Amino acid sequence: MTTPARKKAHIVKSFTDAGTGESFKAGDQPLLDPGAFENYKAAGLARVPDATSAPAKPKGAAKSRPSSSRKPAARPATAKSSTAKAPPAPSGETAPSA
Amino acid sequence: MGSTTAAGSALAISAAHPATEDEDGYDALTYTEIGQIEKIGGIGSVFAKVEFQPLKGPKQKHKGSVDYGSLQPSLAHDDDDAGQTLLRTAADNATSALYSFKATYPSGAVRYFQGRVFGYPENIDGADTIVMAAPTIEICTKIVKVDPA
Repeated sequence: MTTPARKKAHIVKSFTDAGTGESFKAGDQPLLDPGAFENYKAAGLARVPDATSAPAKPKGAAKSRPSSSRKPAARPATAKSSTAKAPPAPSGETAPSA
Repeated sequence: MGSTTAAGSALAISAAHPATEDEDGYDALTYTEIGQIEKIGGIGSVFAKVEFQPLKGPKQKHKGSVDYGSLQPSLAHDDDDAGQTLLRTAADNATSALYSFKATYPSGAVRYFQGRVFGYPENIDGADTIVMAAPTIEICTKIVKVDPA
């Protein structure tokens, strides 16, 4: 199983995670596991950072990709895939609103 | 394995739902541990007892509807604890949203379930006591039991 990419978050309120022992201060913008972020977000402790609040750090070593290496645009869905069954709802219950 | 103390047990909560209500589904979620727990309480479903007493013969007892039970952990209230904060959010949530829970035993055994938090009363007692909380988590799904690895 691959580890999902970590997500940048904006900490709204200072808190400690008893499971990991990590502490976060309001205003911090740490990288979090997506699952942990969703829990913190649901609890009102973290949110998606504003686009303007934290300018992206310059990536010194990162090279800009040539346009030819861009991923091709997604193909339009075929008739077969458009009629594919949607996965069943987890439990037929309402998901907690964030 | 023989008996064991409860020390080292943990209760964690997730705002997400499992894709499937089995070990794999629950294991795929990320949980946030609820800190400062003193006691977790009883985990397990109970069947209603349906009785009939005929005029002749012994009382007949049947299993009725199942109640997956409820959990009433006792914990020291902590405003800065992430797991407790999510638990309070779940208690304040006026919808019937379900949250996922993971109880871990000292042996490594795990109990997974989904539930609704019906309240988070805080208890302020005498001067030489800790401010406690006694949330009520009603278990709404079958409890998935996972043996220790």
